[in-house]
Amino acid sequence: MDNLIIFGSMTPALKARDILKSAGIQSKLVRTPSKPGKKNCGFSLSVSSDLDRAVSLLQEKRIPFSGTSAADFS
Amino acid sequence: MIYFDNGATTFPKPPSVIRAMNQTMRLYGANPGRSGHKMSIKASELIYDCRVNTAKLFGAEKPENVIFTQNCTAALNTVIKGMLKSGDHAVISSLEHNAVVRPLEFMKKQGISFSVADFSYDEEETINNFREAIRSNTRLVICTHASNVFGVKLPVERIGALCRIYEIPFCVDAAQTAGAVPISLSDSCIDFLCTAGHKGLYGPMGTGVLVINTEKTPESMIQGGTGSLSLSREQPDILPDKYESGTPNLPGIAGLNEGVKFVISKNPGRIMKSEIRLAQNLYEKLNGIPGVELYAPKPDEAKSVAVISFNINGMDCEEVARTLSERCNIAVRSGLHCAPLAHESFKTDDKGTVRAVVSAFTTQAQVNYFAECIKRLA
Repeated sequence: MDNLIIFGSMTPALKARDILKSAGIQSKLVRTPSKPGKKNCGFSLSVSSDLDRAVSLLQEKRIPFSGTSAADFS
Repeated sequence: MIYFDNGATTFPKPPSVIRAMNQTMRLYGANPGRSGHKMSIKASELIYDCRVNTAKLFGAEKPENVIFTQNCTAALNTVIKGMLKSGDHAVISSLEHNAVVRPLEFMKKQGISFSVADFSYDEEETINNFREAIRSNTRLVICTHASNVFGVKLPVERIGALCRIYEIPFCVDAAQTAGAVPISLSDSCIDFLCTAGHKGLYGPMGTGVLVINTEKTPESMIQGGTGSLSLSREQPDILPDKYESGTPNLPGIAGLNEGVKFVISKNPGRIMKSEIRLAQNLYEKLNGIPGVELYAPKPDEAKSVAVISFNINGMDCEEVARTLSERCNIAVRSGLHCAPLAHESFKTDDKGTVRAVVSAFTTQAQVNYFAECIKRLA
């Protein structure tokens, strides 16, 4: 099960990916999966580990993201 | 052609620009920022890379504050029309391009007014003219970094500082300077930097850049699909999405990225030195030809860019340009250069001028040939 950091659009997601990569946290850019009854369009970073550290880092760098979620991409 | 029309668009472009555009069309031609497949993500990464490099070139803190437009005119319209409301006043210089003048003229119908601050070779006088033009309802100062007709530079650092004192947003038209003159947004107190992607940044036509360096951003002029927050019927407020509705010019931006990288690798300061040296040489040669009339002082790195306007006595500027093209295979632009204000300032509005502009690819041999051709014509 992967953890997702959810962004409103591509640009903050790519910026976040670069920041996480510099900190040694690998992430993958994916479309944000739909939730039952609620569909919006956006991109997420799938982070297999270090979610807390990733979130902390993005908050510190003031990268806007709308939340986190768990997803199964297997 | 022996190309001296670099003020309109630079030619040639670095080979890397053409390769990047070709590669993008062949391999990454998906719509960026919309889908999640590999090709779309690669396309998004290309665009983001260009934002990062452009931010680096201008000392912008955030790549997301780099907005891609179709040209400098679109960038200027975004700022002018997005910042000004009925009852507002703007200040511009006496050298502005129609890309600044026409939107403001158009907005007079909406109750906007503007004043023109005269350019002077005396910098103190120029600053004073701007200061005196400011009113209690001035909400924007827009100023060209350098005249596209006469090459003279405006002291944007000092104008920016003046705007800071009066808490008025400052917009700079860097169409003739970006890539050739080092520009720092923070050092010059610039809130909005507008430029073409296809001149000193050596990208293709169809690209422009707006860099935003303030929290107070203009209203968006165009609303539409951004590939983000689609459930909302309102235009997103986040950058760059707020100003980038619709499919972006991916091949153009990929080419622009290579142009920006080219400029960074060569260094704007060094590009300027080389261009000014050639422009000075051309100026000296033209100045030595009887019958040639020049309108600005010899180009100087501190006070101008490599743009020279001239006329040949007894000849229409259009005739000079046509003869240069047909008999000498030289490309220049003649007429009013979409800058009637500048021509009025320099008293050439009744006849126009022939304009020669040097680029990073201009050679001394081309300058020598140009001067020889003018000598034969004059």
